[in-house]
Amino acid sequence: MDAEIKKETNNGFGVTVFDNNGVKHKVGVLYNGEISGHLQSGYPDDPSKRSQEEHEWVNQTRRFAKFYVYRQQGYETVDPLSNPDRIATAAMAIANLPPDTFEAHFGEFYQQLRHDAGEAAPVVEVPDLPPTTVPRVEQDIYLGLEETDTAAILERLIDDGTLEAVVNAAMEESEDGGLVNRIRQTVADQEIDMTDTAAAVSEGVIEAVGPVTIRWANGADDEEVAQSVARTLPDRDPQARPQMFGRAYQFDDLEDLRQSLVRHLCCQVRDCYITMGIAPPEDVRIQGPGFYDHLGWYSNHDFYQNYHDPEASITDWQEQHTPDDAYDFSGLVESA
Amino acid sequence: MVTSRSVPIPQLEQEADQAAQQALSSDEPLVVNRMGTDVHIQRSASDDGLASPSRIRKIVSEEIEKRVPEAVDKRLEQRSENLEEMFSGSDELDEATLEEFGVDIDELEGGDTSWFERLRDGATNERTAVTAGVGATLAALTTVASAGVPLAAGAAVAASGSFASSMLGKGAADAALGEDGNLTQAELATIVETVKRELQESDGTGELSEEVDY
Repeated sequence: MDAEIKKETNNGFGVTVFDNNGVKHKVGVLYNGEISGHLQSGYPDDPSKRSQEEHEWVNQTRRFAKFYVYRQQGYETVDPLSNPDRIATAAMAIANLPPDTFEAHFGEFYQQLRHDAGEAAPVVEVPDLPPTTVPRVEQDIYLGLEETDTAAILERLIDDGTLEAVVNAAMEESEDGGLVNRIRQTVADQEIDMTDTAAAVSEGVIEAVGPVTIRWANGADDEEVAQSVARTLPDRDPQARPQMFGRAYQFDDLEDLRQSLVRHLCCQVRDCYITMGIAPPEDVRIQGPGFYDHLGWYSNHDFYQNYHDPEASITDWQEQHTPDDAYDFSGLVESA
Repeated sequence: MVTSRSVPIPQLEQEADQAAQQALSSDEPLVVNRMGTDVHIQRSASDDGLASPSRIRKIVSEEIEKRVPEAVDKRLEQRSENLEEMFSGSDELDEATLEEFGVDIDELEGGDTSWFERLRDGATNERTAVTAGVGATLAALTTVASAGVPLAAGAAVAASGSFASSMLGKGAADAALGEDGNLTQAELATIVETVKRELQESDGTGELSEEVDY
């Protein structure tokens, strides 16, 4: 994939994309993520005349164009639940939550997964379904950070020396070892214990979780039944939605769930990049089930390798299709 | 914002502690040396909390907040009102007091910002934008902010650093990104067998819009 922003209008951007099949596209990405126009001459304009591969090249192009505008210009153009930065943030927050907060957020999710495996009472009653149906357990995650929490976190970062360590590491002239390693080293040298800070940040970042929800495929569509909850949820799209199968996991306790949940979300991050046609960052070149839909995409087609399968042999992470600016996020810090 | 002669943060911390002690133990006017200038802080009869430890702490916060990423230049300007509110509630400092304290906005806004560029470049070059994550977390946190929740940019940068370090230090990332020991391979294979999801149909193309008219 290779993208370049060619034009800005009052409503959005014109982006030229070369897809992984070498076809040139002009894609209009509006500030809200809507596609306003799409010109290309490599495939039939009428989707009913396209092959499966041609569908996916077109879809990859649109996903990458939206991601490119998001990262370069800072607009909310990526589809909800498909923003790898948000999903990664959710994963990191979950990894660092104090045990009681983790249980408060995901204890019922855990119970439903255990029910799925026949080991607990259900939170949500699963209706009788055909034997070929695999219900999955899902729960929405809303990220946010209140102003007061931000101030409190800042105080904490000053108190424990984290801020100073990070700033010093960032200001070092040395390019050796990369920024993250330098931060790690500085923190280790000064014996700063980040555990409490990370927990506080994590608690602040996870604003709310939605009800435990069972979804299952009925043809191309999904059906669902959700837990009824009293709490009020934010009036906006959630940022992450784990999709797990209880009977595929053997958990002894909540900490087992936490490990698998973090990994599952990292697999979703991987899926976001793979289905944009570029390589995932190295840390998430991992195998295992991520997005439910993508299990079918990976397993039913040769277009993608079996990234969902922990035992598959992966020979292609799409590095050769990844442009130099694929991970650049300058637009996020420079724009409003 | 970060000036070429940035003050080491431990020094700020020390100043804060000294100032707080002095405030609590003396009836004399409080003197703080800041940016090379003695700043006299008059305790007022009506507000004897002026130099309380928490207040001094706030000043240090403000100072560091400005020093971290001027960072995030435009963002700070845009949110300057929010910041003032955040750090200057009824019993806290107002802008005039900050100025009296020698927090020189003009000086802070000028100067060398290259370290922040290095931070950004470093994070970008890291190519490990996820759990090793200064990059992605910074990105994610700052965009959580732009999604409607004001967020101190300095905290975002620092938090992302602390996140990354903690994840790596604790081994949570390693655990999560190693093997999933809880996953039953045979069950997963059975489940995947039943997932019939086809690759998504794509939308039609050929429609012209102003954005693609170039």
